[in-house]
Amino acid sequence: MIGMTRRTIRFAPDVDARLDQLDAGQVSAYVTEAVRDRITRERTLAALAEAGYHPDPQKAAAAAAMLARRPSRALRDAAVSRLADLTGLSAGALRDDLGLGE
Amino acid sequence: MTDFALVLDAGAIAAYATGGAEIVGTHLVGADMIGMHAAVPTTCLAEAYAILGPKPEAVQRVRLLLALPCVRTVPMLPGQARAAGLLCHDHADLTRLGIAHTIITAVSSGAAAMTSSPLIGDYLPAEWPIITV
Repeated sequence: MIGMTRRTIRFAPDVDARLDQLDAGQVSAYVTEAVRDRITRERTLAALAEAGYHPDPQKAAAAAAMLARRPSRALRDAAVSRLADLTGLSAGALRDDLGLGE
Repeated sequence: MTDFALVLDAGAIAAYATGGAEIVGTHLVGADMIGMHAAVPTTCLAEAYAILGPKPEAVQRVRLLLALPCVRTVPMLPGQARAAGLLCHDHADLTRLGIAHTIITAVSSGAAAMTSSPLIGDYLPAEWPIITV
C-alpha cells in the first residue's frame, strides 16, 4: 500500500495470541491504532509535564476505572427530573433543550 | 459527538492553572486511558480567567490544558442557555453561570463533574459522580 512501510517486530505470547484471533488483514490496523493511542497518551503526559504535573500511573488507572463507570440510564433520567423540577420546565422540554431526545 | 468522561468547572480549571491540582491531571490521563474526553465549558473558561487574572504562568497552564488531545471546549447552546438561565434565576445560591453550564454539560453527556464548588451536589442526584478539587 502507498505510504505504508513493512517492519519486522516481536510480540510477547499474550499479545501474539490476541493478534492470532484477528483476520490477517486486520493486524496492521489493530497495531497502528494501539500505537496511535500510545502517541496520544505520550502527548498528553508531555503537555501535563510542561504544566508541572506528573500524574501517578496507578492513580490515573484508578481514575480511568472510576470514569469508565458511566451514570446509568436511570441515574441520567433522575438527573433530568431533578433539573426539570429546579427550572420549572417539563422533563420533555428539558430533554429537548439538552439535546437528549427520548 | 464527543464522548465526555468529565466536565471541568471554573474552580477546577483555575486550580489546574495555579499548579496545585494533581487530581485534575490524574483524571485527564484517566479519561485519555479509556479513550474519552474532558469537557471545558466556555463559560467556565471565562470564569476561570476572571478568577486567575492576568498571571502569565496561570494563563500559560490554561493554554496547555486546552491543547491537550483529550480536552474539548464546549459552547453553551441556545437550549442549554435557557436551562442554565432558569437554574440561576430560581436559585439565588447558584450565581455563577459556569456552575449551571457544568451541571447541564454533565447531565447532557453522562459525565462526572469536577468542581471546587460544594453547590453542584445540591443540583444533581446523590449518586452522580462528582470529583472535588
